[in-house]
Formats: sequence, structure tokens, C-alpha cells
Amino acid sequence: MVDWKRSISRRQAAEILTAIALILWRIWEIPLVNLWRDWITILAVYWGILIFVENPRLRGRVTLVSAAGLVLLYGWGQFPHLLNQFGGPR
Amino acid sequence: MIEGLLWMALAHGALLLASHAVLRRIRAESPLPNGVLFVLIHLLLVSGVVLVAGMTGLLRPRPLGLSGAVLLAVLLLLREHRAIRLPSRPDVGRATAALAALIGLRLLLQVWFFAPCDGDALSYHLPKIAEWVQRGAFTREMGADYCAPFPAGFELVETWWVVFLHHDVLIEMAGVEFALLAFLAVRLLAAGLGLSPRPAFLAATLYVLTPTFTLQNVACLNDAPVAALVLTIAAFVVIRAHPVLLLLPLGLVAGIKGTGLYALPGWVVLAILLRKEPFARPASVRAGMALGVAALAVGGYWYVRNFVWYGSPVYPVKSGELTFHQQVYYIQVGPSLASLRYSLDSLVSDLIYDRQKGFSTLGTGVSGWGILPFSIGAVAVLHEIRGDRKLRQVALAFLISTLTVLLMVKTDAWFARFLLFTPALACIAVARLAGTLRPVAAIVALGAAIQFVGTMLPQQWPPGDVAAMMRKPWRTRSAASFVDVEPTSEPVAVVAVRRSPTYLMYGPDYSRRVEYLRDVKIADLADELDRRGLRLLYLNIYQRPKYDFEALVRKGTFGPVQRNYYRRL
Repeated sequence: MVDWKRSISRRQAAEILTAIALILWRIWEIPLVNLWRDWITILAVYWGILIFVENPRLRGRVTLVSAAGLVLLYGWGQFPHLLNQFGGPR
Repeated sequence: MIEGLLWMALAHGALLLASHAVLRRIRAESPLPNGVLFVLIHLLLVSGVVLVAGMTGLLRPRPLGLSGAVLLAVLLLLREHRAIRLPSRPDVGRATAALAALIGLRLLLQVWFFAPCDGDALSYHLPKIAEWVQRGAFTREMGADYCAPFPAGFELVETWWVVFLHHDVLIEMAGVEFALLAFLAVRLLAAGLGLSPRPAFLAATLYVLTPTFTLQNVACLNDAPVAALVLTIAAFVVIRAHPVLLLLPLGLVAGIKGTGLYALPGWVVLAILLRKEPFARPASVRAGMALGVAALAVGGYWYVRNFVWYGSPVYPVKSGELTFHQQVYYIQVGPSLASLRYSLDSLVSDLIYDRQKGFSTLGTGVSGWGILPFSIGAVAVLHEIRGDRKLRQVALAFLISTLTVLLMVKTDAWFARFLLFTPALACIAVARLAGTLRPVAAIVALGAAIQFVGTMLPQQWPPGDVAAMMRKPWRTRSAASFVDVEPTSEPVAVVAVRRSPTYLMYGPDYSRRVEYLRDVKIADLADELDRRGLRLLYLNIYQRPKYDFEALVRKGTFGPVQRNYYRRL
């Protein structure tokens, strides 16, 4: 699963720092209560997980769950407009 | 109409065969780029022919058709048709093939059933085409809009689709050809990144479904064609096409819209990163160079024309003191860090969710990238770039190009349409990921279905209005009834400083006379109309002149007809 004791390469360190920087940027830009549904934050967290998870199966699950979450997040905002195209409620 | 169809068949046949003949002289060793090259050459020939015909006053069905017949005869005598080798059947999965066929069929149906209805197209892209087709030549008159003098490279291709029939029923075919170019370019880009034919085809198919891109393909707007050419440049850089071939998309995109050039820094960086890989030489560098120079000449024509007519190659883009009207339609000059910051923040914090509005041709209030790049696409990019150096380099180039475009355009509700090339990276990553993680296919299928359904109609108009337009007979099909008002058949005088859909006044068959009045004082308006023998006036002005005109209406000089139309009494 996740091996916390293994050494971290320079590239991984750079990736972690970038992911953290992205999260800090979003904390700076948007209210904290909205962070859980912020696209960049979700992707940064996903990126962080990718760095540490080496098991392909677990990595695949995390990828699918992240994508499914983003599908829901997107659908929440766009679907009413989509329905409106067919005369549905706005 | 029958005669027009005949000339159209001859001219189109001639240019298709000529494009193939030219391709034979510059085709690359690898067959992969040849599809892209064929479309590029065809677009260049079409643009060149319309340009020359427009300048010489031969922009009419018969001269163009006769020239086409002669060219076709010469090519047939030279047995060029014997050299035609149809591309081999692509290796593509069943579901992807079905989706691609559905998209292609829908595009053709949209071409037939849609009439131009986007505000920008009706105001400043298309009126010049109406003037050209009516006069059979390029005209100084291009419509009342401030943006009318912009480069019109895309309008050249649109003109090709209307000039023979003297009707705009097929005008959206110009956008379809650019959609094909984008499809081939993304497939080439994906192949250059090592994807096998099936995922490369999937990536290209998903890209064409990008909401704003697919709607623009049939909306007579030029951001989608720009994206297609930007992706062509990217693909050529990735496969290390010879630099002379890069001049082709570069010249064409310069002639369509400057925003395509704003994306260049990313591809320059990518070319530097890939510099150790050898160039793929075309069959003839000299022939490639000649084509490249021709493309630069076709693209550069508008800048030379604007320099001669207005004293600035980039007119109406200008710095310095602006009039009130110029400030309303202000176009950013040069880079702006403020624009970059605000646009980037707006893009990732708001527009990317596509939650403010439905999908529209301009992408107002949304990114118009769709659910695939937002969800599985973004995840796939992060997943895939970690294990592939070349994909990382390409992703960096996409990022730089996206940022440089944002640096160069002002922040407004529509700027995301200049970034229609960006989702291609996500589509390629998705196709790659789907090869290793099978369940991804379910999310891709769901996303593709949502994007397909969401882009059946442009959503800036009530669906009932668009459906009513589609039900009209093709000869009279127009968006006039819901965009503005249905004009009468009489000539109309136009006084407009605000954005006005004047293209609708010409009628779909360009049969109506439209005269633009400029620098006429409101007090002299009645006399000017009398002098020109016009009774109908379209007025779209504001501030003091509007109040002055209302006084004329109260006096009985003009009477209101409907909305912005008035009649001289």
C-alpha cells in the first residue's frame, strides 16, 4: 500500500511541493468552506496521493473515485442548463 | 440554382484533385501527417482562389466554375486521378467508430438545419461576405461594426461555400472542414506521443466533442478554426515535421485571428525541448517552402490591406486615446499581467465548472471544455504525465500556450473561447489512461454522452426558437425572427454604432440591398435617405444622437416599424 518509510526522490519532492503550493494558493484564493469542492484542490490532493501510492490497483481506484467525484461536481452545476435545453426546469 | 450546383461541383472537384496533386509533391515518408497536410493544402488553395477572385472581381459562380473546369480537365489529362490512393481503413474500436460517425452525421445535419445566429458572426464576420457575394468582388464596405476590419481568413473559406449557390445554406461547411483538421491534428499529436491508432482515434473523437468547439464548428465563428490550426502546429512540432511545413498552419492561422499566434511560445519551447530528434523531411523541401510562403502571403494579406486602408496592420487594435465606442469594444494591446491573473483565476475558480450558463457558441460565462476534461481528463493528465517524459514536455507546452494567450487577451465573459485548443491534452491523456484502466471507459462514455446531448443546439437561444428556425424551408431559413426582426424585402439603410446583426438584413440568398450610412448627422438623416431613394431605416445608436432621433419620430419625420426599424414618412 503506502510505504511511508521509503526515501523520496528529488522529483517526488518537487511534485509534493507543487501540490502543496497549489493547495496553499487555493486556500489563499477561496473561502475555506468551499475548498472541498474546488477543482484545483481536488486535483492537488489526487496528485499527492499518486506520489505516495505505488500499488497499481489502489492507484486505479483512487483515480476512478477522483474522476467520479469530479463528474458529480461538474454535473451539479451544468445539468440544470442541460435539462433547460429540452425545456426542463432551470 | 442548378447552374450554381454544376459550377460548385466542378470547382470543388478541381481543388480537391489539385490538393491531392500538391500533396504528392510534399508528402512525408510517414503516412501519418498526410491527412493533415491534405486538409491544410485544400484550405490554402480555397483561400488563395477566393482571395484572387475577390481582388480581380471574379468572385462569381461562372468564372470560378469555368476556371475549375479547366483546372480539372488539365489534372485529368495529366492523369492525376490515377495517383489517388484512398487512406486505408483506420484501426478503430466499434464504440469509437459509432461515436465518430454520430458526430460527423450530426455536424452535417447541423450545417443543413442551422442558419447563422451568433451575434458576433451576424454583426462583423458575415456582413462582409454578403457584400462580397453581392458585388462579386472584395469591397471596402464590410459592415458597420467596429471589428469588421479584422483578418478574414476564415471568411474566405465560408465564401467558397456560398458563392456558387448565392445562398448561405451550406456556409457552416467551412467550420466542418476545420473540425476535420482538428480531428486529424489531435490524432497526429496523439500518435506522435506514442499512442497506438485506436486510442489516438478516441482522443481525436473526444476532442471534437468539446462543447464550445463543436458548437463553433457550425456557428460561423473563427475560434474553433484557430484551435484546429494551433493543434496542427502542436502536432507538427511533436512529430518533428520539417519547419517549412509549419509555415502552412502558421500562415493560415495568422490570417484568421491573432489569438492563434498568442499560443506560439508553448510550441517554441516544445521545439527546443525536442531539438535532438531529427526532422521528418517532406518529399520536396522546395515545394514545401513554396506552399509555406503562399500560406504566409494568404495570411498576411489582411495585415497589408489594413496598413494600406487604415495605416495600421493590426487595425482596429490600437493603443493610445480611445473614443467612447472604442472603449466599449476595447481590444487589449500587448501583454498584461493583470489580465493573466484575473483570467486564470476566473478560469479555474469559475468558468471551468460550466455552471453559469448552458453551452453557447461564444462560451459566454463558461469554459466550454465540457465534463471530460474537467473530470477524467484532468485526472488522466496528472496520472499520465508522471510516467512519460514526452507527454510531460507536451503538457508544459500546453500550459505555456494557455498562459500566454491569457496574458494577451482581456478578461471578459468570453475569453475562454481563445483556449479551445487546451482540452486536446486532456482528451489524449484520457485515451491513454483508458488503455491501462478499463473502467475509465464507463466515465468516458458517460461524459461523451453528456457532451453530445448538451451540444445539440446552441443554448444562448430558447430551444423553441431554434427549432422553429430549423423547421423553415431551407431557401428562407434565417435566424432573423428570434435574433432581431424579420426584415422586409425592401432596401434598408443602416445607422449603427452598437453591435447589430446586420447580416440578417441581406437575407439568406443575399438578395436585399443594405446601405450603411456613416458620419450622417441625425438632422440630415431624412435628406440622406431621400437622396438614396430609401424608406426603411435600421437604427442602433445611443447617447445624444438617439435623443435627437426620437425628436424626429415625435415630429413625424420617421415612424417606428418594429424594434430598431423605422420608416421615413
